[in-house]
Amino acid sequence: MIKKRSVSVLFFLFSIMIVLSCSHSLQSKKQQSDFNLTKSKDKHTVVPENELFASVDTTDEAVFTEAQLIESLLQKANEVLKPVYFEYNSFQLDQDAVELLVKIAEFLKENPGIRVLVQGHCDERGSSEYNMGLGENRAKVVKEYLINCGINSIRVEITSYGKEKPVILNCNDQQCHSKNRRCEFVPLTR
Amino acid sequence: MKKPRILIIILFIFTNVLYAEEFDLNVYASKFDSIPIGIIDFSSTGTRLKKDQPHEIIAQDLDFCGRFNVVTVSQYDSAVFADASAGIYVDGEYTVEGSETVINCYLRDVASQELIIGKKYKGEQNVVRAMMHRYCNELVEMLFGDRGIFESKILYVKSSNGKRDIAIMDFDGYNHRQITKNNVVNIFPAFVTKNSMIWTSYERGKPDLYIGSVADGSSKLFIYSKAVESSPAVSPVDGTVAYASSRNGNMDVYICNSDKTNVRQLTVHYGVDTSPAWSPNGYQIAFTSDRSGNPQIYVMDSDGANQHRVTFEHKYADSPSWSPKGDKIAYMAMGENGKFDIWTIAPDGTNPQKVTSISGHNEYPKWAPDGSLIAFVNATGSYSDLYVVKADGSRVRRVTKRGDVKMPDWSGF
Repeated sequence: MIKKRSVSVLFFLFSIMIVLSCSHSLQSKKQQSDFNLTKSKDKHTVVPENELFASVDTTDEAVFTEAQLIESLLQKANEVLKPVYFEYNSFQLDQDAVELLVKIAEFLKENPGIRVLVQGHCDERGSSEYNMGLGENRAKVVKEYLINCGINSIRVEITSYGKEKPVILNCNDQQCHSKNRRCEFVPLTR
Repeated sequence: MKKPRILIIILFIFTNVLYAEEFDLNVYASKFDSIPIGIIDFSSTGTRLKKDQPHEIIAQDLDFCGRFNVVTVSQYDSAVFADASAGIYVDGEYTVEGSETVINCYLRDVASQELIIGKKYKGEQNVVRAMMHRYCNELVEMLFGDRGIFESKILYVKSSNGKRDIAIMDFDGYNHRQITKNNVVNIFPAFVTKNSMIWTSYERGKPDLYIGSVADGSSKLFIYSKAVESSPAVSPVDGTVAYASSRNGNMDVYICNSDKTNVRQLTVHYGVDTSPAWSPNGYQIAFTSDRSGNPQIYVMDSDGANQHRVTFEHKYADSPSWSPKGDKIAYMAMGENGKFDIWTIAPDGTNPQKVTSISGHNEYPKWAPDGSLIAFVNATGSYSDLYVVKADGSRVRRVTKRGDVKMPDWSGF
């Protein structure tokens, strides 16, 4: 128990660090952002977020449909929306994950019309049932991080594929397994 | 296309009892753990069947179920039968007339060669296997007084090139048929009845529970939300559905009525609770939880009370399946070397026993409806195939050689 508690305290402190680092780096970017939605005094006319996502189904009936992005945006999205990787049987964000998520948060701020589905994935060890839960926990920490970075929660949906969609099949070594433990980002329709 | 075949089986398999019983089969059966039985090649009048000779199917079936010691011979051989201590044997003959096949099966006393009981079957050529499965079921009933598994089916996830579809096969690995063809991930199939199933499908871009027809895959949404809905299991008593859902923030075990009303959350824990498995009387549910730090098997009452941990031997235990007699829970557990094997344990947590030891990962145990066998998936390299084993670890048999079989569910009789 003591061990567990100290781990969670560490995790809590770590989370605070992450949030601070996130807000800091975003602040410095804010000035250059063309579509800053959080400041209504902006000289650009922007569609308010609540109107932008007014038609999004937030009920249990919601269907997650992949959006077809326009060419220029697609290229940028492919550059930025890279998978976030995790340690074995873990759903904690490491330094690499945090750096990537900061960039993704910036991208989402710069492109206020984009919604994303975070798909949690696991390596092929263990049962399919349990890995569904683990994959979802990974997607959840990613979503929480993006929300802490100021992204509206309506813009980030999550789901889990467990171990059912590995990038590399039939891994035998750690290096290979580590490529499958990830969260992927899929642009969603509004 | 499939419907007429089923009709044919029902309409055209006639069973005629040709002779009355004199030999006391129950006394004979009670003398052995595995009953010695001789099978003699069937003779034919006229055309011979191109494949699936009746005696081959009978021998395969009886050997498969683990309750017999099968001795096959081409003709009556008292020495071979005596060697195997076989007191009974089966012989027979068949006639092929046009598309129709008539098969006579005779169970005989080795000592006197006298007929004990004879059965006659008539049907289209493509139901010869089905007719002989029916005969084996009747043999089991005559000898043991309970039902055989030879008309049972196995649902599984056909897993190839990253695709996941629900498929079905006969208990012995024959007659594979893919059911879902919707180009999304389909996993966790479970029989509701022999003709309908419940499973998890990603048709809405996320995992929901669907109920559908085993015959044609036609389906409708059953339990759905924005969260993960997975791992359905149907109570053998009243059809109550247990499943894992994260609708309240993290994955917990829920149940609902067979008409999806009366949803109740049974576990409330920040850990992952999943993989529910019903006890045969419907009073209890085994499930997996990582509340102790890593996945272990737990048991609770079907109202969520008395949740307690059952497995302590392993650092990772998962995928419970409750035996039809209620005395054991089969599960998969990780050994020191990271290899998964099938184990059984009493529901009170006593007597953990390792069942499998063949190389590769041995996963996803599911009991045969009569409790005589445990089906499991052996994953070696890029191949995963279905195997069966007796609960005591003996008689491992490979069922499929497809390389794409995952997450089996064994039907009722």
